[in-house]
Amino acid sequence: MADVIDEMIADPAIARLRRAREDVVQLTQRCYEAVLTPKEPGGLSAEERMALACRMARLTGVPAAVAFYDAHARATVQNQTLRDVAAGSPAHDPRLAAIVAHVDRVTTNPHASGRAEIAALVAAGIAERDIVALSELIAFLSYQFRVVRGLELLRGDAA
Amino acid sequence: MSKVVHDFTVEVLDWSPFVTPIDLAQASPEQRTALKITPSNTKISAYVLVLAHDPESLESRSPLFNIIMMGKGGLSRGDRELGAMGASAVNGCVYCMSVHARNFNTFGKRPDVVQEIFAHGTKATLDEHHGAIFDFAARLSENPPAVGAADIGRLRNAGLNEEEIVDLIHSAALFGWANRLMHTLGEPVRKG
Repeated sequence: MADVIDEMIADPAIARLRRAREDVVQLTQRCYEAVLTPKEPGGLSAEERMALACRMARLTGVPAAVAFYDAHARATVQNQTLRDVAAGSPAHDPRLAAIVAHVDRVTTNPHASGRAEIAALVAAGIAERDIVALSELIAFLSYQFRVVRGLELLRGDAA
Repeated sequence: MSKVVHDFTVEVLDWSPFVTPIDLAQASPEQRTALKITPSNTKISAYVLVLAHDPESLESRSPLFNIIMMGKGGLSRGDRELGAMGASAVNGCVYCMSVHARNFNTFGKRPDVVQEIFAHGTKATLDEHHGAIFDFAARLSENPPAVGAADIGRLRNAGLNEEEIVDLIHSAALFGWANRLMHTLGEPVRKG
């Protein structure tokens, strides 16, 4: 798989600058694959993961990341409920609603999440391994969006 | 319960998980592989044993974390720790703050900077160099699209070159990740 941050930034000078830390570039890409398209997806399908990633990108609002995940969600998310989740709509199925609530909360205000919020996921029937996988998805993307924002600014984007 | 710590401190804290850590005796081959490359092989922490529920992420995340914070050259180790502190101040991650404030004191030797951050959080008033780095990390953590050319300009004025700015982006962003695991999957508790 090509490097997705290079794809988002689309600037050869920034791609070269990133190679001062080649190992960071490669491990970041491996972590992206581990949270979006893992070999063992457990209880969170690749389609669900991409829908949630798109939702998070829109919530965070980093332009290059929104464009990337919008395009990828349109191409790979077929289920209508998940397409709605990707676009930012609420979910009605209790399991998915619990996941979406956690995604929204931890993306925008991680400090507001504590013991009760993990208990709510357990009560919605989500296995502990999937709670950790969901947490890694949210947390990794929070990192990736911030790396992309910093690189957008070094590319010379105003505003 | 009463041992939960809510205020920033440089004390060495324990971490109490909300999710059951994996049982090492029952670990899968993938989990064992992922655990081998963490820094603490002799006594694996509850935090790492919780993250081992997702071995694919853990396996790449551990070396990535070490390189971003400790890789040779580029931004000084102390300034990378300050980036981690900016994120941890915004996200209110008491555990991460305790570790990285101690590290900052080791490399930066400026306990007054730590005192100011503990007293005033993201409103801390620091000298030009430390202020540019801390404020950039905090602003990138709080609301990425609100960070602009002026924030990058302030880092350049403080003497950072492009490679050093990329290192700071990585360390601040990394704690957008670490804080979201450490703060949401468990809580900091006083030892003993």
